[in-house]
Amino acid sequence: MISDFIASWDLFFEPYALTLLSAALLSLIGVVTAARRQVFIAAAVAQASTLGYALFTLLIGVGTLPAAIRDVVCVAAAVLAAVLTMLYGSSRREGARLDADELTAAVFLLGGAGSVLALARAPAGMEQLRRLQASSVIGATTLDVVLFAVLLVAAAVFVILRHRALVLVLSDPVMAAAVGMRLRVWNIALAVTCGLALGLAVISTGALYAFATLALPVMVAKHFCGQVRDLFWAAPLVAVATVLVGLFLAYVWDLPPGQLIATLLCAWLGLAVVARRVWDALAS
Amino acid sequence: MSDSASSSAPAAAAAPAPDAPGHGSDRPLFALRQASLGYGRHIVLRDVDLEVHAGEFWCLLGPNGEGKTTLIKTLLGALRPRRGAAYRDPEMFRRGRVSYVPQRLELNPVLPTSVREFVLSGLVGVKADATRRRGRLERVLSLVGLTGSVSRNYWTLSGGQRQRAMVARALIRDPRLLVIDEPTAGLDFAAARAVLDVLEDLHKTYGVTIVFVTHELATAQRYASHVALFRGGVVTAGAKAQVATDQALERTFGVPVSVSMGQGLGLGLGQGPGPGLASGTELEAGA
Ligand SMILES: Nc1ncnc2c1ncn2[C@@H]1O[C@H](COP(=O)(O)OP(=O)(O)OP(=O)(O)O)[C@@H](O)[C@H]1O
Ligand SMILES: [Mg+2]
Repeated sequence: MISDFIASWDLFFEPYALTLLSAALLSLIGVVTAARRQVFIAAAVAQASTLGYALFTLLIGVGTLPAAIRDVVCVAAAVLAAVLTMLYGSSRREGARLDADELTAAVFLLGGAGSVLALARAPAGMEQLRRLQASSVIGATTLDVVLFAVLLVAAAVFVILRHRALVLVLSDPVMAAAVGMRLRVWNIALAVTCGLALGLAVISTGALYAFATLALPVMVAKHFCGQVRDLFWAAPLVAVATVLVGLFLAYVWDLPPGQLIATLLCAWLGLAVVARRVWDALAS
Repeated sequence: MSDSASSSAPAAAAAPAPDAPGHGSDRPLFALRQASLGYGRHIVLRDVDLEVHAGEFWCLLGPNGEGKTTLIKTLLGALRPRRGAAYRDPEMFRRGRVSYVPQRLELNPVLPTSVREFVLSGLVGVKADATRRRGRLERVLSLVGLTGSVSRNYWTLSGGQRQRAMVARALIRDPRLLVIDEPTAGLDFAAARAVLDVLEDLHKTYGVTIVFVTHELATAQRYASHVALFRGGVVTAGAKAQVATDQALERTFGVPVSVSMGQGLGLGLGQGPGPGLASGTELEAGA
């Protein structure tokens, strides 16, 4: 069975590779979104990208745009939404009426409702929306794989070189400014990176999978790590291991891999919580 | 960032930097001219004029919500003045010889961080190899009395212990300018005393410039060379003897205060050195 699965890599190399690479990348980025209390951002970004596409279609008045343009618009809208939400979150003011999570919820709802409204009367509008929302990795191309590989390597190198600065800017922006880090540049760079990775992931792997690999691995890893720094390798490790198991089981049982991987991650989370409790009980 | 940033305090003391006290440079480290400070359209402080020179010990005094933290954020460059000008000594800030102890942290408490990781994050931009980092870590942790807690989860520390960890993080980069937002809030008697003694020692022995928010008049009275009073959006700043008069303090706090009585207010710090923290001279011994 395992050899069958390994043999299937030849056939499905791009989808498999994309699933792995995007999980590794998003779980890395998930550490930053968790530190900033912006876990739901992936869900909102997913919806915002469809809204961006829907509005663009409505404005241009064309029912069917070429897929390439559609993707560019979606990514642009996703990046914009992520940047705005993250910048708002990082400049959170005391006494402000909205926190980052609430704003994210509003973006999520606006994206979901607005995109349907915008395309409800367009010819074949709903059909297109459905296609966008139910995207899967089956159509993955070599370009997707290369793109995610490049982003992953860039993100990993950055974390390895600058993890201490990253921890400082996440924990204490004022001290970061005091020691000469440029806050504005950091905030925008982090927001753009998250938006870009998420926007691309939502379009090539689907919102559920993107959200699951962003939010869950860090939640699992956190039960076994004592430092933020360790999360940067532990979360991707959890993600990659789960994807490998998930792909295998999906192949064996002929189930959709994205949903299976998300479910597995939730199962690990449950196990991690229990294991940690037991460990703590034994230690004390 | 720079090699000089990694030189230890005693080295700096042996060969005083041009910004050490007594070298009387006229250029301030930090200055505000007719500056209005605030957030967006909300102006907190108006027409502030203030100059902090090397070697001074500033206490910022005022009721809650009067803008002390706002001024500090501007000093550190995290906030830009809404109007007017802010000057920051480019040398000092570029070389990263500035440190800060915040009133509170923004990190999400559900993320685990150890005391080690937290304190070492204060070394950002300082070139130091692993041995040197370890040496510095041990030195500052013993200084604040957290030696045994190096591997502990920061979030399982008590409020006062967290405060000590924040002080350790600030000291680990051997700052020439140390900005502290209520360093003794939540500290027990001995710990507060010890932190203040460390500050005094840094100031006196190494000429470190200190800017310090406190609600304790006795502390200001004892340690400060300069005082800034915050009231109603106005900052009155200058040498302690000129600024911290009975009338000015009464205006600031809205209750009768006597400068001499200041000693008896607040913590009412005793004289003996506090247990739990080593004296500041260990900074020298450990280097
Ligand atoms: N991030 C922020 N956004 C908007 N307004 C703020 C922000 N931080 C503080 N303020 C407002 O600015 C004013 C001054 O606040 P600041 O924190 O500077 O006071 P403070 O003197 O440090 O008070 P405390 O003694 O309680 O620490 C307050 O009215 C406060 O509501
Ligand atoms: Mg304050």
